[in-house]
Amino acid sequence: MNDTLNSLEQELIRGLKKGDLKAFDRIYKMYSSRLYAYSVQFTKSPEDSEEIVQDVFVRLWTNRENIRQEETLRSLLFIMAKHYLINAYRKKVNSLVFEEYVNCQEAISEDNGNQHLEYEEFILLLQRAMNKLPSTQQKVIELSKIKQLSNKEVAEELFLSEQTVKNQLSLGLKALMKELNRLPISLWMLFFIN
Amino acid sequence: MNSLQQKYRNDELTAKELQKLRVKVNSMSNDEIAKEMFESWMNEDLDVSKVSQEQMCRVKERIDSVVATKHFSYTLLYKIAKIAAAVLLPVFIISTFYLYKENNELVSEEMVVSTGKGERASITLPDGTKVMLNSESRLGYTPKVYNKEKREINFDGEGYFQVSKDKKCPFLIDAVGLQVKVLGTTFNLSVCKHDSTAELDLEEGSVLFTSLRTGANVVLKPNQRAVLNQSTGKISLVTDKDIQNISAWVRGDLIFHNTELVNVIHTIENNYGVHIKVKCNNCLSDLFTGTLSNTDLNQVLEVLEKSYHLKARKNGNNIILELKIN
Repeated sequence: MNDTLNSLEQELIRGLKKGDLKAFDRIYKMYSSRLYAYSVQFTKSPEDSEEIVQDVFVRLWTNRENIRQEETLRSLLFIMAKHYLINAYRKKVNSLVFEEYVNCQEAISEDNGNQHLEYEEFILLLQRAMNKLPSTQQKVIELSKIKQLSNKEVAEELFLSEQTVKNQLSLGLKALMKELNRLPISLWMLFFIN
Repeated sequence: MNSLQQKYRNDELTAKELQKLRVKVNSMSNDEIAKEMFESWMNEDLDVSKVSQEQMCRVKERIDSVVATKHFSYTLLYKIAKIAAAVLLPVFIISTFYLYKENNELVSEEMVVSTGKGERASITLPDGTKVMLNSESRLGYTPKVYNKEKREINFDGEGYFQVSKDKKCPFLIDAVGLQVKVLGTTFNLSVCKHDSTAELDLEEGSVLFTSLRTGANVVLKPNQRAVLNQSTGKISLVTDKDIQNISAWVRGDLIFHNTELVNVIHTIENNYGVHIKVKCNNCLSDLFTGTLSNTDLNQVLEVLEKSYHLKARKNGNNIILELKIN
């Protein structure tokens, strides 16, 4: 089985190197879904993952002549994708929003073992609640908690004083908490607020 | 430790585990992380069932738009270039030919400088010859042939010529009844379709003056004047020491020496662009000698008034000179 797969891959690589668009199409069909799914697991974002798939395959094509015949497509694709994946991984792991998500997710699964909060769902709910806030509070929360800028940096970005930033942040988070508590998932711990 | 990454990927982390993972990831190098990832990528069974094919198709379209055009463009471009060349080459040849013809025709056209009543003009010909045109004069030449084997112009009216010296290329003036051949010289030519005579006054150099009617040739030396009788075609040579006077119009004076009043009036009319009617008894055949301004009409009229007991009445560009009563 492995042999046939191998020889098929070899053929495809040969075709790709020659500039055969059909071979390229077949490679895409073989691996795009896997690459996408894997990327989503690390980036937690459909858009970012689509971009990764797009970039990787475009680069695969443009660099086709430099591909070594002995390579496997699978490893090849990883080599091209790993840079994006590692970056996304590091960022997400350190993100406050992600942390908040993990907290919520844990709380929910403790209470109702079956329920699993998807990251996307979480983001959606959060976004909805945020949209209900007055615009300055919204902006301040976004810069401070999601983009994780310091109060000083937020002040500079929005042309406000640092004190104003602190005030807006505290007001905003309180309002956000109130808003989220109305929702079915009412276990927001909002570790946003230290 | 794999399982932490796995839990991360599957959204199964607890808060504590996240903290641990954070510490771990932040302490690892990219290569170390890559190694871990590679392992799971190559060997793990990933669930791709939830991946939308529609979505993958859309992405492929975007990829194709970048990839296929690049690839396409080389072969297609080459094909297009070949076809274009085949189509365009005859077009280029034809249009070049056409444009060349048109250009040639344009250049074969005549350049004309002319002056109206009361106007003066200055023209420099391609060879550097300067011509000053008096009023109601016309000079024409063909740029394409001028300055090749000969420098030929046709002329009517009055002009002051300063011809560039070129022994190899004679300067020719074609006018009514006459032809002037010049090698490099300064002269004044007055020839009018309607005039009974034509005059050439040579200041400097030498010219060959030919009467077209009789075929007679005269070579003029400086300070000589040739007068052509248009009806007979006969040329008379006059040596006039004061030929400088004739070109006085260039400097701005109208000088008359025993000139019939009718011709004086004519000259005034031309110079000022006015129409003069004289009501008198036989004064028009009177011979007038004197200098008149070519810029001050009032002075001119004053002189005429005094000389012939006339009174001038102006009505715009129309002037009537009539006998003064008393």
